Amino acid sequence: MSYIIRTIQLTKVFNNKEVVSNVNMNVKQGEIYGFLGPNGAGKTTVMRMMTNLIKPTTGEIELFGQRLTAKSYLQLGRMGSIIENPVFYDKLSARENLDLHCKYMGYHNKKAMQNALELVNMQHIGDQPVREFSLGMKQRLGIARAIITKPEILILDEPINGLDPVGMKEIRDLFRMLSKEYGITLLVSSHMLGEVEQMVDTIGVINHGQLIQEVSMEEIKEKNKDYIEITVRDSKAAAYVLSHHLHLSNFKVINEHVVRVYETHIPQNELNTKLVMNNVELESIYSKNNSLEDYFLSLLNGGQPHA
Amino acid sequence: MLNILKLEMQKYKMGGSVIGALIATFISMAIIMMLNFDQDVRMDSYEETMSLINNIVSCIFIIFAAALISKYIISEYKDKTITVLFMYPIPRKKIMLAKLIIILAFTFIFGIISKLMIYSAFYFFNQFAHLFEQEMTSALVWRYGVKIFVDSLLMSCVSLIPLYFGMRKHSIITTIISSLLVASVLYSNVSFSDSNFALSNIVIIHILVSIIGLLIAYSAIYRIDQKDVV
Repeated sequence: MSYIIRTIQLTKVFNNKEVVSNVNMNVKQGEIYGFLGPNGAGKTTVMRMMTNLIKPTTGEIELFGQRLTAKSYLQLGRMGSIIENPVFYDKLSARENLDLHCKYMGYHNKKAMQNALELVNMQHIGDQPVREFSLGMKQRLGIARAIITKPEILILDEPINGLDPVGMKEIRDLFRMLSKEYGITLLVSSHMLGEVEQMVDTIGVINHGQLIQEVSMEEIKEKNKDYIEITVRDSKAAAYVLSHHLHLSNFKVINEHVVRVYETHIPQNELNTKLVMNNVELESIYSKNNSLEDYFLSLLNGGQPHA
Repeated sequence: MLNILKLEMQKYKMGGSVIGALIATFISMAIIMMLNFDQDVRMDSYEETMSLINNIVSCIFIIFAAALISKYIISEYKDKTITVLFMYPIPRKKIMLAKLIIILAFTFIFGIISKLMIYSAFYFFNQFAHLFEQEMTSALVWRYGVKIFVDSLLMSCVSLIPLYFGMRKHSIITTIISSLLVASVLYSNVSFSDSNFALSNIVIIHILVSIIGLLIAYSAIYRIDQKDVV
């Protein structure tokens, strides 16, 4: 598997304070990577380092398989980004801003601007200066600017911030489309897993400057299935009852006392009755519902995932 | 490089600055003419007029250059648009150099235009008002021409000094105030006597200060690739 963005022991110190510590991130080509963490966790600092705005104190960054140095200007031409808030030349109109952007990027395709504006649903934008735009409109325009030159990597810092629910969905669909149809790799940061969980392929969770976990969304979903946990004196006996009397196959013996049943449609009292009828001594039974948000919070609080 | 210069000028709509510079020129022209209605300060030679025009125009364009520095450089940092600008596949040095060239060239060119306009206007004014009788020989025209050129060149280098103060905290106010200080120290009349003496009349001082201006511009570009943009 080829990685398009990698950071190796990436560390940044500001005023003797380590804001990013030994971060090793691996973003695969073509995927959508959700970069999650609470405010002030170091997300923006990592993204600033990737776009060469600030330089790592130690460690390094690899983009497109090449080490990023202070003079890696050409690599910047293959990326689109929004860092922190989308900023524009306020006195100029949206189209003037996009036009300048294309010229600086050395991208000359007359149709590109209209296409980009259509993608973010802003094709009817007039000539008013950008300073009159709302945050949501600036966010959309920022996305249009980032994608107008069809970059290979998009680095977007909280791009969904400031959008209404309908807008959020539109933008998520757009990101998925960019990833699927154009093969663009997206690195999207957010402080809420819920905002991005439907679209990302991999998440990296950062807190206090440290990357706590980097895991594929599939793996998380697998780990966080709902289940009924049964604590008994003898788990083997319970397993026998489950498979032979209740005809269940999707359960797991965790240890000699605990069994987890992943078929949550079965009523607890039925489980209870069957086990007791077959002389399995039952200590407790409860059903566990994991939301991904819980998982995310548990990572942030404990540093280690449960389940 | 030419392309970057063009983009910078497009971005900040150069036309507005040109109009501003012309307005400043006409105002100083009017002030100089009107000074002659006061018997005490009435001018009595081209030499004196020349040095007065030179000082007034220099003061104005030092401040004008500070406004350009604020617009082209400081406000990019203040509004954080520099983060967008420095993410383009263009060396930062080139971008900064382009901005400095625009400021330097604008100050230099309009310094000359402004002085020529005011000086010619004064010449015609004197033909009618007869403030003093002095023949404008071609030798004089040449001498003043060279002086206008050299003084404007030095002045445009000096005008970069406020960049140093403005960049420290990315403050527009500091930039403008420091330009006022530079203008008043270097180009305003010191009334030890009745003469139009200003510190910049001492050529060696003028040259030294303009070298400081160039060094400040150099320091703004030097190692800019390595600097963090926060």
